[in-house]
Amino acid sequence: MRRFLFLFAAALVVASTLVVAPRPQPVMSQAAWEKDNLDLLARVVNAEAGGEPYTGQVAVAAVIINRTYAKGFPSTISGVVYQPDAFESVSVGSIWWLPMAPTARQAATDALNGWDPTNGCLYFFEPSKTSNAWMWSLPQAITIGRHIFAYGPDQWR
Amino acid sequence: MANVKHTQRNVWLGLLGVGLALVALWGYGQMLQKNRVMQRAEGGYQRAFHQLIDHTVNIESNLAHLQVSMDRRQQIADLDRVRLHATAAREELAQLPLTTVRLGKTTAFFGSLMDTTEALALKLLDNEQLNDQDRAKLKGMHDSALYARDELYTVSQVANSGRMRWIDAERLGAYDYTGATKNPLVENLLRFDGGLKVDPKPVSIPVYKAVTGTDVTAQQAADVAARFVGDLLQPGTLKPVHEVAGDVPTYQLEGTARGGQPLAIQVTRKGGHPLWMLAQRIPAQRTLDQNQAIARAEEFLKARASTLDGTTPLAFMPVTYQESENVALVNLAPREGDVVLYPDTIRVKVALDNGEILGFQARDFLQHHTARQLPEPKLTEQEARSKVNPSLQVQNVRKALILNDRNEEVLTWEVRGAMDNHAYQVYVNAQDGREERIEQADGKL
Repeated sequence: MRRFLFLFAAALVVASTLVVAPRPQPVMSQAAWEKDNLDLLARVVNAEAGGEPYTGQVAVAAVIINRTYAKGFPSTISGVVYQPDAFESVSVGSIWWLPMAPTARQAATDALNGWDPTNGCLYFFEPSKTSNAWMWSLPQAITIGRHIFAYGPDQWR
Repeated sequence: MANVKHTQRNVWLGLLGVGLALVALWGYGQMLQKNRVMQRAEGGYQRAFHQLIDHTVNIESNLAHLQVSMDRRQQIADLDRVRLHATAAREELAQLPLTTVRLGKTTAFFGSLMDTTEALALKLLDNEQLNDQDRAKLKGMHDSALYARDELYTVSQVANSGRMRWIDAERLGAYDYTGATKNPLVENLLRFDGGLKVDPKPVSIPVYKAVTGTDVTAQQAADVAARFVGDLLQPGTLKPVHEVAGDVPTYQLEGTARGGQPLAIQVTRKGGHPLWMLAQRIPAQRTLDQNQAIARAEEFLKARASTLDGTTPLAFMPVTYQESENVALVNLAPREGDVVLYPDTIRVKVALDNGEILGFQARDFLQHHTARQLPEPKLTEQEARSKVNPSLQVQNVRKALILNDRNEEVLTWEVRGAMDNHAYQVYVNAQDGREERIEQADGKL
């Protein structure tokens, strides 16, 4: 029993080190704001589109940035990312534990520098996992990999 | 023998009982913990909603003051407070678990408060007075704010009655399978949203001044793209894959770059102008220095200058340089005479191992570039230098066209210098000598 408890405790310790979120590095430079946003954006890109074509990764980052300029969304990247239930990977926490794809950072950088394969989309979803009728009713722009990218309901009217 | 067996069985039963008790205890602990976490989340939502009401109360009272105030200083302060509270209210609203609930009028209300109060405050700062039209607009906004304050309080009573928690709205979803609301909180919020009066404001779609000409076919777009990408591409691999709508409809084409990585490019449907190009690769090492990378970007753009807007070839100069992961980002702006045209900036990505071009982006250029009649500056360079802070050690001065905070193009003197070891670019209006803008751009060339 004691040995079992010990093993159990040891397993718990190992498991907890696996799921503990990495601490952000303190950044003291002038561009700290941009670096902080880049880190967060790269994590969401990685978790939502890590295995996607490169343009699909840039597109996910571009959607987040487009939202910060849209009226119905928060005006900051962290505000958009942490909006309740806005992104599945944030809700379940996989943005913190999935290993970083080598291209996620560059994709986030490109989107911050203005590359936007979606021409201004505010939504993306996986057709195989989405039954939400409202999501399907949105005007679609482009399909990249397993994501459909879509505009807001009256974005261009 | 039998006794030993009995004892053994009793020991096992005892252990099993203890085990069950431990599991039950552990489960109870887990439940308590889960409750605490859920209550904390609920507390966060409640806080967001109450602060939303607080901000609405403040918006209403400041708008009420504005109805009677005759003093410009007081009016500017009130307008600024309304703008701040409207900004904060929008952020709080976005933190409620209402991802699938459309509160279009509510977000439009806070958005129009932000825009209108900022515009009016700028007007007052320019020594103008509020006119009858402005007063009428403020009156309408105050009526809506009164409605919002009172109705949001009604919703908060539902939230406080304990009949429904925000966290239930999140957990159970806002709608049932027929599409009807099944949550009194959501139902009340939607009713509130429906009754809110907001001036319908046309959606501002960006204009692309340089996107001119007749529509091109997918094949013509492919020809443009192939010519533009040129020897970056393995010949014959470029294929049109999509048409993309949006503010400027485009064709997207994809091919294979020389290095084997996929390359994507978008060309506008109208006129066939290249909008952007991307070929992803992370160079393993860095052999090019900054000057070589800039030369590479200039060379790339020079060879394509005539295809950009279909008219006169433009002379581009590098304006900023940044690096990350062995890739350089060079921003280049065209010049007209001795004026740098910042609104027409084009971005080029250069791989620092072999100088391959990895990206091109002309969205700003296509939005702003047009034949302009640039005015003659009224201020001389010397006068512009005398306008900036005397503690700024001026390094150089040149003429620059910039977009000001109201998104208007203004001719300025770009005064660059340093103060307390910080680099600054101060843009002095070339006509009236006002400070239009101050920047601290990274990697300014």
